[in-house]
Amino acid sequence: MKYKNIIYSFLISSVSIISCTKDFEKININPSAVSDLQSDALLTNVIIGVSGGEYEAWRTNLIYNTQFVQQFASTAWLQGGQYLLDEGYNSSLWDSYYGGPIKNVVNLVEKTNGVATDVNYNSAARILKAFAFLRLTDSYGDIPYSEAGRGYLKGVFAAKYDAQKDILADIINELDAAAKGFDAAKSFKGDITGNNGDISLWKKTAYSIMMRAAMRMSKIDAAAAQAGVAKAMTGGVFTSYTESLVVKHLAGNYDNPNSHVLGYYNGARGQLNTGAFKFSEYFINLLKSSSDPRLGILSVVRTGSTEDNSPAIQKGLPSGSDAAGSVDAYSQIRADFVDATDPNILVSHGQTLLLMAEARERGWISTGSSETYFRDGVKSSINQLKGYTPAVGVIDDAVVDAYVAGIVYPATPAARYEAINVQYYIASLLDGYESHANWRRSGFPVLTAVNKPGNYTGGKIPRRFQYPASESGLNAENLAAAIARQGANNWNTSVWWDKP
Amino acid sequence: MNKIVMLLCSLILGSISFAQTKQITGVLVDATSKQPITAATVKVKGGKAVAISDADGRFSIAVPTTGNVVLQISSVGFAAVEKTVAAAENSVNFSLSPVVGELGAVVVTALGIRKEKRALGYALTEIKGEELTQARSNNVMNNLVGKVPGLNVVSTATGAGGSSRIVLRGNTSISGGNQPLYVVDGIPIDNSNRGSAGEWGGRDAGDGIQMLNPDEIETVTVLKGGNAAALYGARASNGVILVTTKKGSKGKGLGVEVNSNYTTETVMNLLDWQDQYGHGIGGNAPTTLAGANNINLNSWGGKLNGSSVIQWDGVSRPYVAHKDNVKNFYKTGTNLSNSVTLYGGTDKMTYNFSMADLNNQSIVPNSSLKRNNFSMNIGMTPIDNLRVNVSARYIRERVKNRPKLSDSPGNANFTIGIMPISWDQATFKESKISQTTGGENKFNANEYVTNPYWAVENYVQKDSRDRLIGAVEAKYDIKKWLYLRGRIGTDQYTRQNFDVTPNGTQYSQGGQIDDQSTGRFREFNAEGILGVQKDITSKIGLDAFVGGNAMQQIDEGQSQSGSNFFVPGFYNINNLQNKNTNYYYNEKRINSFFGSAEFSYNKYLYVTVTGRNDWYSTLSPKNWSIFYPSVAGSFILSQAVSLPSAINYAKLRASWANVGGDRDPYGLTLPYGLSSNTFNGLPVGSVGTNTIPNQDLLPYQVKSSEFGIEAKFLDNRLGIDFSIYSKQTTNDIIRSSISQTSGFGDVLINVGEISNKGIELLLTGTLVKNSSLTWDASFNFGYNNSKVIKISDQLLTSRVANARSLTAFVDHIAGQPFGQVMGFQYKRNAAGELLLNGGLPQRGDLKAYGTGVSPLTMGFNNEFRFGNFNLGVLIDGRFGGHMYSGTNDFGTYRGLTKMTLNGREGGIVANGVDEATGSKNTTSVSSQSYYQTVGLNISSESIFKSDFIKLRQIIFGYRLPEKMFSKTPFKGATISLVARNIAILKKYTPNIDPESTYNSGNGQGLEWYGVPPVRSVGVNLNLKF
Repeated sequence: MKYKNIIYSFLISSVSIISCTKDFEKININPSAVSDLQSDALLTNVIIGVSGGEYEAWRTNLIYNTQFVQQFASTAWLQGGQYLLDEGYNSSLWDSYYGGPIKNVVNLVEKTNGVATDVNYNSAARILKAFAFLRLTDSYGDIPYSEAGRGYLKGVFAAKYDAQKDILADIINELDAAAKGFDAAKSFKGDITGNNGDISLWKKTAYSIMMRAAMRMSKIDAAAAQAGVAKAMTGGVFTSYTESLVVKHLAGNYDNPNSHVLGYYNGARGQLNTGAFKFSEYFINLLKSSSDPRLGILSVVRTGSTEDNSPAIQKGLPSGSDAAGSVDAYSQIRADFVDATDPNILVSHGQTLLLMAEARERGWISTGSSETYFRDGVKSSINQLKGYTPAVGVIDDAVVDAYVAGIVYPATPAARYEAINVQYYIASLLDGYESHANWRRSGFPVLTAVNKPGNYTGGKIPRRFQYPASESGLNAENLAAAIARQGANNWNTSVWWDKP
Repeated sequence: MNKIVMLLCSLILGSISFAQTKQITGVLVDATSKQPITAATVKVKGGKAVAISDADGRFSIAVPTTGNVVLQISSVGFAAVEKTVAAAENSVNFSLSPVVGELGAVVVTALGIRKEKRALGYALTEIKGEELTQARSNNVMNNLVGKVPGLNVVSTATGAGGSSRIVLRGNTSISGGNQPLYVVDGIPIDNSNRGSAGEWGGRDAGDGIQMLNPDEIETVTVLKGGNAAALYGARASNGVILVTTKKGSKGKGLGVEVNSNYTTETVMNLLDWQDQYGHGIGGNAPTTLAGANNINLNSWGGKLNGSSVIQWDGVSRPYVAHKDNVKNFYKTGTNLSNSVTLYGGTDKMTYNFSMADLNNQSIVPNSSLKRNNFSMNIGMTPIDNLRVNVSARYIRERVKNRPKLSDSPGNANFTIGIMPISWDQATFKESKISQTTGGENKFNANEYVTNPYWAVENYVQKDSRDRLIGAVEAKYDIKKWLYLRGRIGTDQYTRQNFDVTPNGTQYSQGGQIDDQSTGRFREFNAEGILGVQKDITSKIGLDAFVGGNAMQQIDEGQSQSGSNFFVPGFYNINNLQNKNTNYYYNEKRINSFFGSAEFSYNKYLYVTVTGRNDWYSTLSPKNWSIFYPSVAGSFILSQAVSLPSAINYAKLRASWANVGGDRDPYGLTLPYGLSSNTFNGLPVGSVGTNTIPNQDLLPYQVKSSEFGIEAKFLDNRLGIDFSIYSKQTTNDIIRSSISQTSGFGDVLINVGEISNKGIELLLTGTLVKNSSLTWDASFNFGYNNSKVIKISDQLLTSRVANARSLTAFVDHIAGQPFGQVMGFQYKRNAAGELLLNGGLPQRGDLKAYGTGVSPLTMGFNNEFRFGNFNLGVLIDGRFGGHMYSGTNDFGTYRGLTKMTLNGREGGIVANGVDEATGSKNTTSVSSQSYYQTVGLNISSESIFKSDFIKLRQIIFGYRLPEKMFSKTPFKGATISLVARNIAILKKYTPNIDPESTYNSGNGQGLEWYGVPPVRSVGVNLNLKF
């Protein structure tokens, strides 16, 4: 019967359609993603990520850190100058780093572990990873470290918080191992730092970061600090102002993150245009009182688009000022230091020398003189401005030498620590993370806290950022353990290395 | 799919057969409506010949050439008829009387199969098209509010063309989509929301179903949950809404129907801010221009005393309250909708063409929605026993300037909402442009707060969608009891979007193109079924089919964005300094094989068994085949046994089903992505996902069971329909937010479990029925108790959404109902006293206040008819949910809520103890310090019950008497006065609409400066000629 044929053909068609799954695996491959990528492309991205994005540069670095330590002051961003809690600003470094460079750098390290051809990528990634975690732990204290960024690699969705003590120890070990891992015979591309693929400079970078990490422990664990400093000295740190861990930025999508916030150029946020960031009164007075030649280089009073750098007229905005009236008459950073292509200095030769001056004074280094390290450190810090837009940062060498020679290096260790760390503070301008960390460690410069209504610290300069509110729901148990170990989750609790 | 096309062709070409010697022809009509009766069975008593009437009621049956024959006519919904036909007659017509009440009702069920409602073992609600067209919404699904028990509608607080969130019987998945599948005339259509606002703002880009023209709709059938929708297998987990469009019918000449609807929309201003203190801080009004525009929009100034105070634009004006800023900023919106339908038919063909034009001007200035719908439905009977339907609809939608919602950048609603009362919103129009820069004039310290007129006049956003939905369906009756049906259909659209932040905007001086994109969506379905309808014995009937479906879905698009216009005001991608490009492509397929068998016994006991096997391209081969069964039973008690005469009808039903939840393609392995910009020629690559991939992912499983009773009493004047159901989701795919420290934002894991249990009740009654007045009332009620049972082995909670303040969240918590609204409490000691720090309250623990999805929904609909007048009144309500109101929280921070009046003069000595000393607090703090601390930290102050009762809709209509038309071409005319969202009768949320939400995602229960609610009033005119 005819209808049976129809039924049979129907059934045959149906079965052949539903059994037609042979293309399914091919269909389920995303044509707009790739399953593997060369290490140099990943390294380039990690460097950009560690240098930072405007998100945390604006919030954590500029609004909070630079105002906490009174380098900058603002009437537009009272959160920083008056220690007001903003949940999003407080967690911006955390959110940006863990979801970005930490994920990518952990992945790159894992991916290149044991891959002979990729040892240089592996080492560079480990160094950058150490730097990034140091910045994070300085900011928040005990943080997820050993399990962080391993959501895919190890299935860790809620990473445990490691004690800062252990993190610092591991950072020092990692830096040493990474430095020793480089192999000049192997490929090394995609390095967009000032090291430009030079392995000897990467080794110095590792030991200079180690110097910083070791000195962090000066208050809490002198023995560990001394051991770390010794290891860094043995490995060899930066030796010239041209040697620094610095990220070279480009105009356009990869501009300098601080410049992107402050700069005047097309596409920048133009925060200097609107007068949102001024030099603080303290900072300007500090440079003025020491006749620091950097005053006339860094600082301008801007009227319209005219920048007047006459040292005499420079005037800083008192920290914590409420919004009232025009702030046009106050000094701000010169436009040339916030250009798109300006370098982002992460660890400098000058900073390293100043740390060495302190270490020598503490007896943790046995060679050289504390005073020489100090004066060389100041000189290097001034010279590093040459890395900015040509001509602007260049101060006549004779003027620099005269200034450096003219600084009185005090006689007592306590006074020397102050002199060293005040210079470190000036040298770290624009790097609020480091400025705030070293201020907490050293106690210098001596700053007067602001006490305004609604502040979050009882009128004290914050000692850390608190853990993001998101963690209390998503990582509650580990968070609770960290808080139990470290102390109340607020801005007044000191991180481990900052314990009095 | 090609094979199905071939099959259809062979079917159409190869089936001209069954020639007979003598034919009796005739037409079957409904005795009441005089409409033709389709698909009735005509048999020769004692013989074998059988015929089925076509869409025009025509039949043709072979009979012996000699002697009288008796024809038996039966059709679902009509009383059976027998008639003797003399040998000489070759033509005979019948008129059949419809069976009144539930016994005869026929409804559309899954896969478009029409069934007697009595046979269904599950609840099903059918809404007639006319209920959607009078007091209409631009998103037709919003008109289901209050009409379907167990259906929860939430519409986004945006202007025209916003998305809606429809959930049937509770949320099935913890983090997947929870909205039903929409099927229009058998074709699944996409309902994606192509853009939404989150805590950082954004625009709601509408959804897919909103594009439908309500005038085209014959019925909307709501298949709640898996029980009714099991035949859709993988896509049935959230239920299915079937839309059946109007078909033509045979009639005299050309039928024309014209519908015009015009409404005006006005803002409902619910803001009830304090009106005693103006702009300023520290209790003082600003005294200088810089002071006036360097502080934020704080209302912590001085007491409004009429003195002259400098304002943001440098002009000094009296320091008085401007209470009408909201009313004056939003304009009166208009909505004009016209449609024309042409319909008719001949013996061989029926047709229905319609065109519609919608023009909506939102209350938000400069924002509009325009839509045109064109559709055709053609039914043909090219040969006997073959019925072919062709439908095509083309929809064209243009939207201009969808408002930005939630966070402040570009959000006019935010600035208007938070504006100090001592300012007049009109000044923002007057002084919008800076005289020095030509850009947006600075008016406060935070450049991310945007001048509302700059936001609505200078930002540019426009999007367009062009959509084609088409299908060809052929049904061939091979035998009287055997049929074959094939269908191919597609839904496809192209969406273009252009979104510009203008240069000169305070926070983006260079300007940017946020998105310039073209996206293309395509879905194809090919389906074939082979069905049997046969009475096996005189008492046992069989209605069964088997079939297959192949589905292919491709979603593809490219976009460009960038920043810094070289030439200001020239919004072209070539005019940008920095550019980014993106391309995406998602494809998935599902192949299916399914079957259904319904056995009936004596027309009072029905048992239906269905099964469907799906094969997914999105899963790994070892997992990709999954089977979904269901079973349902119906027992017509009133026919099986003798019941008291007061009971006209009683039915018991029960069903069980296991269905699945679809999943997205890819996501099995870790992808890497390359940035669209190189670093000076070097490639920049990174891990290309924020979601942790998972090889072993499966679709989730939903087991649902249901039991129900339907009954009619007192001559069918009172009715009850009650259901109780339980729905268990296991293996739920959790897109769970995880700690950022993992490196990823979320993870897909197959471990979630969620249960929904609930009841639904529908009471209907003709309360008054006499010659002058009829009053029909219906009350529906749905209660759904959801419970998140398990999130994962590691996660006890999972974050669904953050509020902009980052102090309130929607979290899933194991053991609690879906989507808990979370807020921080005050810090207190064991005795419950406030623990203060320097006189200020402190943030305490995070607390779950309850689900953001109201578990209880109800609607009360009244329909009065008197003479040619009718009056419909719909009241609806939702209860049992909670919401966080960012408007209130931020209003407290800025000194606008009435509670901030406390302590303005003389400060606040909070009642509590100092945490450090443990002694009673004596520190006095300013009202500003106190309430800013509250606003920043104590989000629980702004968490409210979201319960409400609303007077949703009133329709007052007049049908012009037919005798008026006797000498005109008109056949009928109805004019109605219509109103929607007339009044909020009860609510607990100060300053806001308890329905306000800024997106239609799973994180319900968060509100943050959306478009205020709109009341619409207008007229609807319907003409037939």
